[in-house]
Amino acid sequence: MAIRSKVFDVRAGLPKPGARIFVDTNVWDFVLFDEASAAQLVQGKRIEKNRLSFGTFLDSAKKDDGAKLFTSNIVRMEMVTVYERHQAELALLDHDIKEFRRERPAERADALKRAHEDWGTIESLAEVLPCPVEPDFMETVYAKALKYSLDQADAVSVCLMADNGIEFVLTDDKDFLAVDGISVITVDEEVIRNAKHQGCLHAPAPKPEEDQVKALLDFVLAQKKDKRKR
Amino acid sequence: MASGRRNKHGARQVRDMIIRLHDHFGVSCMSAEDGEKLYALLQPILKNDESVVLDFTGVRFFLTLFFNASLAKLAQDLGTEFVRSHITVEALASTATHHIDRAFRLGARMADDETYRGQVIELANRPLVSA
Repeated sequence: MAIRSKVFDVRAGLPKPGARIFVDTNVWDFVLFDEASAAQLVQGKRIEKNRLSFGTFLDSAKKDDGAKLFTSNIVRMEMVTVYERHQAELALLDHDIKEFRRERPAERADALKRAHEDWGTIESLAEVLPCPVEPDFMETVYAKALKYSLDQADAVSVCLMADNGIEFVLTDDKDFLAVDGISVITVDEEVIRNAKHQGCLHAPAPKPEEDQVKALLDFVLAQKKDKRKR
Repeated sequence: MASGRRNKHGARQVRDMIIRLHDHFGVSCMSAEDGEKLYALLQPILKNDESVVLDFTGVRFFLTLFFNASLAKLAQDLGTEFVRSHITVEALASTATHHIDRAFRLGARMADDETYRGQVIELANRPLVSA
């Protein structure tokens, strides 16, 4: 898979101080849908990918205003469908979401209620970008979807990022890797390995205080070297 | 909402320990690591059959991960009713109280419903989904 975006490992922390980061549906789903992390956190089962790092990353974004988070109304719509699908899976009806909606009104109502509550949490954490419906914007979405093989929702996210000066997207969706000019922050080990191999894995920018410490260390080492010469 | 031990006049008993979440975690209770730290603080207190107050004053940001790693796990390990009766929650924004209710509900189901537990483990092994 050819990667056109820059890639950052979520476990390395914030990519730079004050970074503007778009948070994708799959991340909100993992950090908010109760059962998504229950196997590991409540039951103590090890899960394959350490998706818990998404929570740590978002936490560092909010502590000390480390980064500015964004999401969109399209994400809200996706989230409701994803929650319904999860509830259908938990009700052992994973292959037919329409049957789930018809046959399990109580569980469906619970899915919608939870998505509604969790949207409130998201609004407290991130700025919600409204999706414009003007023809010009939709033409750009069409062009992005065509160029990068993105689904419509992801194409909307990419356009919103461009329109709002947002460089980073926090996601586990590999489709974003095909988009040039953006930076994907991921927990996916395979993607991180590929990105390293292709030379597009980036390390976070050092914090200003780290710069100062490094400059001080360089100065002390230079002094020692100088003394030895003399 | 959880209710702690109170005397006949409704006042909290003097011996209830108070944990000020902001002192431990700052403005955000979001990560699984912080949730695990809270679990480690609470578990010995509750095992000793003592009550505790969770004071959320100054905490503004929340994620389910934090509550799953702390309250849901405690509910699963020690029983939901027991944990509910030993914990009082204070100064939690009304827009965040659902986290507590949902954590207790999850813990109870994880403890009691084997089919559900199996489905949850299966859900964890699937790739993250888009709509």
